[in-house]
Amino acid sequence: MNAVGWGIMISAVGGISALFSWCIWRVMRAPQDHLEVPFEELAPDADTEE
Amino acid sequence: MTASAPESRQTWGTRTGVILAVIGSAVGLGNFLRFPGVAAANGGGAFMIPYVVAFVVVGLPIAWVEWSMGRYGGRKGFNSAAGIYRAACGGRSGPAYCGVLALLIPVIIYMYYLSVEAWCLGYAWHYWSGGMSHTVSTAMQTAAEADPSLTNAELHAAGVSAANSYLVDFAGMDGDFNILRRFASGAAPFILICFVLNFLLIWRGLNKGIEWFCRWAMPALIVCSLIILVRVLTLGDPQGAQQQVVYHPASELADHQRAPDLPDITVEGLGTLAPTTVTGTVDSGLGFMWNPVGHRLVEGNPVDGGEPIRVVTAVGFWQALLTPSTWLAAAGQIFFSLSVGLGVILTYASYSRRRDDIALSSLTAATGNGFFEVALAGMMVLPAAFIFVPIGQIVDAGERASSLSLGFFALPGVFENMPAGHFFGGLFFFLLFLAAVTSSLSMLQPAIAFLEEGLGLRRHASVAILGVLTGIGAGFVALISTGATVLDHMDFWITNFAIFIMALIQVILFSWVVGADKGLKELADGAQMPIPRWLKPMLTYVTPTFLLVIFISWIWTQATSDHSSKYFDALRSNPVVQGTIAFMILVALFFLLLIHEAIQRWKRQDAVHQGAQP
Repeated sequence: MNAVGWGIMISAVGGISALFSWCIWRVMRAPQDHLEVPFEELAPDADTEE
Repeated sequence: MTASAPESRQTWGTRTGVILAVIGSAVGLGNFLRFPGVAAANGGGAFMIPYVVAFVVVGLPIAWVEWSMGRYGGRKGFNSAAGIYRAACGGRSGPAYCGVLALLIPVIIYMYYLSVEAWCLGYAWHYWSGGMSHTVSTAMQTAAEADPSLTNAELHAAGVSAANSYLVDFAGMDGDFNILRRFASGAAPFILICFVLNFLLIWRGLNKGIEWFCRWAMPALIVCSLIILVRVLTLGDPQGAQQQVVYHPASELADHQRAPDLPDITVEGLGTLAPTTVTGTVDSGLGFMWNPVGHRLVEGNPVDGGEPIRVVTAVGFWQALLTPSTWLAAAGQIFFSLSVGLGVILTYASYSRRRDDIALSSLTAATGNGFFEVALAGMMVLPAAFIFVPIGQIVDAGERASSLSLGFFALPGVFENMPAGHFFGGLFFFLLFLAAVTSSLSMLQPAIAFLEEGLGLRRHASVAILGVLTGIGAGFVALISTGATVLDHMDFWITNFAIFIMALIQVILFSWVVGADKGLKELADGAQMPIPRWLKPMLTYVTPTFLLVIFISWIWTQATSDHSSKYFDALRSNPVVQGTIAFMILVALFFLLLIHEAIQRWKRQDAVHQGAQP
């Protein structure tokens, strides 16, 4: 593999990995974890009635 | 909005669950088998430029469209495209009929995807149980004993041919109904297992079925991928590696770069080409995938006379980038890979709750899919294949963009030449099987959702009806199996034609009927990331234009290219192909009829709902 190939590979693999990691990090620190309840305990959404 | 909402509706149990389910829907055979071949054939590293552009212009915007419309529809009590489009367009019936594509596409894909999924499971089983012992090496040894003068490349070609015959035998491609004649040794038991497994999981419901399976299958998929990746990258310079021959313009090669004993050739339009050889190593395999050089199969005449030969020629960076087919291939790969334009994301997103973040979830799912495709599959499949498989066979597989065959005819030889190859072969095909199941599950949910909300059926009744319908279709694909013609043509028309139309309809509905401002407001509701300001002009003007240009170019390519127009020619001359198209039209009409019935039902509900209001 030549130097340009290495550059493209590292950019592509590094770029998508970094973006995916950033997304995971944002998802993990998101304040929505309180919504993570088992399905059986879910009540119908109040806002389905409009 | 006019239709009445159900008393309760399903929602995803966890945010992690929905993201894993959507990534699972997107990550499939297209990532592991299709992407590497298409990339290498269309510019290698240069392919990544149109690939990224297509991701930004088409993939991500349409994914956001589907998530926004899906969650909006879900809030109104709808989980199918027909209901969602009707709700989003103020209760108008016309857009609801467009939802037929969102039922047809996933259901038809499921019918043939099931066969490929079963092949993956069957291959995994055969590797681990010893059924695929030395298929390729035995063929190579037999060929060498029969003709000691055969070159290394010819011996490897014999090995690949044996692997191809194994697949033909296993899948019954050598004759209709052969899959029944060799029931026990062929793919039939695995098709039945996969069919039952899919419907068992769907039967269990959204949370206990799809979400539960994806929560353990996706991490398992990553672990399997990493194990295979490490194994491939540590192959180094193994014994039995290919001397790959690539032709370049003769004027660009110095004498010491030319392969001795191989003739120069002349190719119309390209002039005189001279051969070079590259030894199959991991490094050169990675270069085959990532160097900004495309590879095409061309037919040329040896300058010293003799029969025309087909060889692989290198295509330079700018030449690859300025070729329309490279951009078409990139856009096609994004569609296929991200599962946009299938109607699946629309349905999955409808199970989100009002204040769930969909912008970041969508981006996470899209980048997760890209991670599997670029960072795992792009580093694994082609470098391994390049070492042991003749380069012409690899490029040929990549040029046949709808083909997923690379893994089945090329990789068995790779695993036989690897230490502990049977373990890793089984692991690889089990990985493909997991990826396929998470995708095939997602293809059933849109139709289930429609049958439930459109016809008022209970889930188990919906599952039973869909089971009968897909059973007929899957049986059609598996039994009329000569040359995999049914499978190939279903795949061609759905992935090249129907998905594009569906994506275009969605963008137009979102931007021009519902209104981009209203749609983007829905996307921003609960978003934990800023919505890019360029998204509105992109969705209003750039994406529809890009899609139209692709479609027109595609039609032009089909009309003028000998290689691709075989699908159009077969429509006129092949009764099996005509039967396949007729079957798909019948399924579409069946769904249209059901949508019509559903619309009448929703109108009656609206009337009752409005009558009940003061």
